[in-house]
Amino acid sequence: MALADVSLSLLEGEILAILGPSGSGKSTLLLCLAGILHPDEGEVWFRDRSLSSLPDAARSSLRRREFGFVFQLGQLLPELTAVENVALPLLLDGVGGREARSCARALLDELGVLDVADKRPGEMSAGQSQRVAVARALVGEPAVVFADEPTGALDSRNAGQVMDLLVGAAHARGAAILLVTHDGDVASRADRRILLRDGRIAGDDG
Amino acid sequence: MRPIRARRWLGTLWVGLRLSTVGGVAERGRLAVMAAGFAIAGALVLHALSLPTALARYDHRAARRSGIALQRVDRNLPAATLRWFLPTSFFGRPVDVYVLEGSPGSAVPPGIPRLPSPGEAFVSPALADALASPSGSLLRPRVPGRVVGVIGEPGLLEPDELIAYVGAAPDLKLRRRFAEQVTAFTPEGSSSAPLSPAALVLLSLAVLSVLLPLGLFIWTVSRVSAAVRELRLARIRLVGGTRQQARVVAAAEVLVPAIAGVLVASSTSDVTRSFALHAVSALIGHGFFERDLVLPAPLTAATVIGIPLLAVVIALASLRRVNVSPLGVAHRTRSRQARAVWPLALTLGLLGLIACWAGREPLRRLPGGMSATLLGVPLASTLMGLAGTVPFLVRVAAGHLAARASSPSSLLGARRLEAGPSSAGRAAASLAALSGLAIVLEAIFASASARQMPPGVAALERADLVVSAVEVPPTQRRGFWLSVADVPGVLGIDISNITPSGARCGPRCVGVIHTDGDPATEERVRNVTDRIAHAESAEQVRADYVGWGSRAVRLLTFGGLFVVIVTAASLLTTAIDGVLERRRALAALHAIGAPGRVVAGSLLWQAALPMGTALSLAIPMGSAVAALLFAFADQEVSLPWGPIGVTAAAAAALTLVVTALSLPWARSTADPSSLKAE
Repeated sequence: MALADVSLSLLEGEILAILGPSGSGKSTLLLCLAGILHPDEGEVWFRDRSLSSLPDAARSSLRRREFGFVFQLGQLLPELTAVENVALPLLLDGVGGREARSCARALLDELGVLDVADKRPGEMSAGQSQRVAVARALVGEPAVVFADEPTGALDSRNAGQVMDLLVGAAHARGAAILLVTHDGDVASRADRRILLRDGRIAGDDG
Repeated sequence: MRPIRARRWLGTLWVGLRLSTVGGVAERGRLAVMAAGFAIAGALVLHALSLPTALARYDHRAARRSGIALQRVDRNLPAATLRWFLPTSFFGRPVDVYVLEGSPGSAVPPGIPRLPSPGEAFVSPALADALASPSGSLLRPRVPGRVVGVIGEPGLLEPDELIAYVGAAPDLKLRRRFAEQVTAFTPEGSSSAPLSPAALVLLSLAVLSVLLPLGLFIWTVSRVSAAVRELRLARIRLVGGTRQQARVVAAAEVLVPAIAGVLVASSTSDVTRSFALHAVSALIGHGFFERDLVLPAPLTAATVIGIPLLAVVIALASLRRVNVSPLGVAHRTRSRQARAVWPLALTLGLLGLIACWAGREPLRRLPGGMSATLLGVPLASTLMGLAGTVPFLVRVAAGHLAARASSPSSLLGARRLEAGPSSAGRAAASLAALSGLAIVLEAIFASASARQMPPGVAALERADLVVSAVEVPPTQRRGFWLSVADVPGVLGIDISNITPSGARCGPRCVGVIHTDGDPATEERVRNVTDRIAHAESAEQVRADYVGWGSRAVRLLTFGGLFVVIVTAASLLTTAIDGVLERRRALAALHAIGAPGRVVAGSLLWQAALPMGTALSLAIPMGSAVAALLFAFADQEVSLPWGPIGVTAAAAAALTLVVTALSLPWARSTADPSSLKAE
């Protein structure tokens, strides 16, 4: 069993960090909360809706419209340019191509990576790729951003910059962040921290 | 020193072999895709190679059955077997009835224990079935004699052959118009005629249609997950491996799936042979025994060894354009100018053909070889340009589509093609070149056949039968035609002195019998006429004119279909490889809420764009070249719209099949476990 007796709530605009050693169930918890994995027992609620009661299409729609995701690496589609990767959630939601690209460019500009807008992930540095990933997570104006080790593959300078951008841009949009990390510095930016050990909550400073 | 070096190389080889069999889901998937690809390629090569063997075995049986025959009867050869032929047909299938006459010690045809006595008949198993069928009574009068045995396999050319050996009863002796004396039933008397230029062209095309797409398919399979594997080679360099050791690892990695694939192909060839038998029979126009397609052991061994060797050569050749260093991998790509050579070659080739057409009068006055060369150079340039232009166009079309895409499917599919166009481009290039060439040749054969058919033959109705009464004495011809007119279902007879093909043959010598179209009526007419001469259906008469042309067109259509199938197999391999390579990115796409149809749509675009581009270019270019060649000869072209439609429909259907078969792999990327950071 990866998780047991886990109960937590995330408020609008709150930044919650989940800490813990490798194998403690952090990523599994994030995937359950995002409606990607289905817990064997228990329920995940989002704004009075139980995710487990929703059909797959509705959960996909929820993830498209209300959630954003940032993973450690390899999350951008290698054949798409940065602007296309960022525009993808909007295109998936039926926004026109030109409008989606325009929104994406504006966000890339806001995050300081407009210069790589027409480059592919293979032509970008790791820091630039993560900023593009942050832009993709925020482009749909989500209510919650799920970030799984978003700075795990970055040096400390780049990690700090990416976290600043993620937290700043999410705050500006009123989005909550659920952050999985084992980095204390990254976790220190959160409003609240939960320690997970062997799939159970071992500490909560909130 | 030497043992140490040998140990080092063996160690490197072991690392390569180990690397090809270890790993997670993606690595196992890659291994399975490569092994399956090599198995398909192996099966196709094994069965393609068995075709010449099958033809040789068929010819050997035909030669043995013909035997050493003298066309003129020699009374000094009393031990020879006298043989004459009574041709007929049964519901469209030819029936060969041979009358045999001999003495004890005369040569006996293969498949029967002795010569049939007068009033006896040996029949093939298929003919025995036909005679025993409910409509067999309509055939019985044309297979005279009591059936005393069945002809064995050594006496048959194919399992479904309708053939009978009958004894020379007195009434059959009266029907002997031409006979030959067979001194021995042995294949030694036959001599194979040299191939005609047209047959040589067809044979070359058949070889090209088989080898080129198969070679490209093996190339595609050998390059599955090449990016991941090359990155592994860089890591091997990082821990101190030399360039040569990296090459050994690359060769060993491709060797495992290649050997596994060809072993599967050779061990399952007994199962796949029946499919190959149907395909080959349809292609050649006659049947074979299944054992005809059994490849001789040396050729099987050569295939089992040759395909893995080819895969290794491809793996090593591909590394020539890759710089694998401890820091990573760098690819050398062709310049934009180099890629633009092909559209230029295509344009110049077409302009050359137009120039040849414009200056056809002086060109025709040149010696034959020179005018053919002057025409051949732009023709070759056009076809090579066509092949080279397709990958270029696929890339341009993909870029164009992606820049304007408002749907995620088209954006993903187009960008994928634009980013990694090599495999799809190569497959589409061979499809375009071979389809273009096939259209030109089909037009030539179809037009030549159409021109040769006399108006009298072309005017025959589908339900008409044509009978020649030349063998009937002129005074008895009226009675003969009256007996034919009495057959139920005969609506009337047009009796003439000239055959439908325009040849004069004497008074009341030929009749076009109009029937009610019931196949049984045709058989009843033959029971009256075939004692004198075989009543040919309109289709059989036309076959004398269009036979070789339509066979050639059919062969080319099959060649085109084969190319489309192998192209689809290449595109499927590329699509699955692309999914496996981007497993994590596609899982992230699923996480952000992309419905499954987005990836499915992108896979459809990845197959449809290369197929569509190849045929969109090949069909007009092939038609234009055919039209120019015919205009050069001041002749009317007949474009093969039927085969073109068949090829296009097959390409469309296989595009959907490729998408459907790659969907399970795409669905597997929805597994969220690949998203975990740890």
